[in-house]
Amino acid sequence: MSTALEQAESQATELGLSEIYRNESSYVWNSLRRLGAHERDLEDLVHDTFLVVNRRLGDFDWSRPLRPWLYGIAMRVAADARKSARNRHETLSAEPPEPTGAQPGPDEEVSAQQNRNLVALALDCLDFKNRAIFVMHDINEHTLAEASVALDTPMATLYSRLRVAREQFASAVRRIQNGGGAA
Amino acid sequence: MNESDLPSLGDLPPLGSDLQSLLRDEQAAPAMPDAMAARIQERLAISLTGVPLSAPDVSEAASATAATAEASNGILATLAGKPLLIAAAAFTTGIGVGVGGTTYFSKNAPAAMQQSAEAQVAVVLIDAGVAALPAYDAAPSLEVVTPVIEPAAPARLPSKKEVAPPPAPTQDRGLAAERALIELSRTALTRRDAKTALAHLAEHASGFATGRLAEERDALRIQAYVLDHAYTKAKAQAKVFETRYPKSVFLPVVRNVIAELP
Repeated sequence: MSTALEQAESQATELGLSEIYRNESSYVWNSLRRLGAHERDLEDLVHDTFLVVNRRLGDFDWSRPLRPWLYGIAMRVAADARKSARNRHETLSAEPPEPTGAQPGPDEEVSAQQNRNLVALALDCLDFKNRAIFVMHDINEHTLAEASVALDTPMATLYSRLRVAREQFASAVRRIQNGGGAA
Repeated sequence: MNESDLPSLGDLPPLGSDLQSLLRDEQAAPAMPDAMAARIQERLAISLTGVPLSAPDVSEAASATAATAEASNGILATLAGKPLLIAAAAFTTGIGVGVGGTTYFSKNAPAAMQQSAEAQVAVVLIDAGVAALPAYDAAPSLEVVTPVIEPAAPARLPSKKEVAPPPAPTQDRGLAAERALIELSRTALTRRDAKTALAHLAEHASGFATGRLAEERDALRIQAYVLDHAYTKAKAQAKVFETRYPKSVFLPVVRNVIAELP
């Protein structure tokens, strides 16, 4: 395939901030939530993430998938927020997030919401770096190769963190289900 | 190294079916609530175009530090003596487009202060992450109402040499040039210099009629018209803007500005 054609295809996929926000704001919102952002901070963090997206959009390599790149930015925004919260002696997420948009409905939906709350509690038991790769790989379903680029971390390191994260997550779920709490 | 090249990937502790079921429910989590999405969109628009249109006195600009602090604390814009709905709440933490209010100086300010403020402009041009908004590359320029721009005596247009380079290597030098012009017009709006802002916007329209920042340029032009009391032009441009960019992130700001007009 010619370089010119590849470039044309690449350019054809370029999106503006408005379109990226329209298509991916929920992805960013859910990613931040899974990374432990508190409900009260989510709006600010999504906003901040897209400001960074806007600033860096000109440098984005459109031959790469967009979402891992967005995740990398969201992860750094969330990490900064955690540091700020720690400096303020606050906790970012100490309780399961409020159910969002969940209306009382069929049993399946209630059960799904309970499962999501359990996942949130278990994720809180993970170290942030392990949590970041666990969310990216096992929930958001990005590959380790994509994560390596987006998080600027060697794949072997990510693999190691993912292995630990899975163990921590499984252990946390068991503990919570047995009434041991999320600590 | 590809994922498939990791020999130990198979050693990952497998997630049991119960855990996989949990994660599937998490993957199916609902989208962000519409109301929150709309609020964030409005805040983004303000952060990216929300130029503080109030005109502080020279005395207010006496301290560049104070002006910067004011900018970072958020700005409640007023226009032509009328309070606007725009509150630039997002000028925080250095993440945002810290353009607003960093150049509070007037034409009568002492030269030294102007130099100081211009130095700030350069910093802003470096820091401001304005914008790659390439969504509407193909859209024609919003020149339904052709502005009669008299850049006759612009209050010291910064020369090309004063325009800082883009913050990082970009794939598109044209984008950097576009960004510089947009920044200059935004800076002019910050100091309520509508004529200079319009001149820069016209320069952008002439050089980058269908540029990647055309959408932002057209939004800024509406604000410049309003600042210049060219309300009829502003309203006409706003209508065209809304038609051309119905889902623009800048639309809330445009609507708010027009809603304040007599």
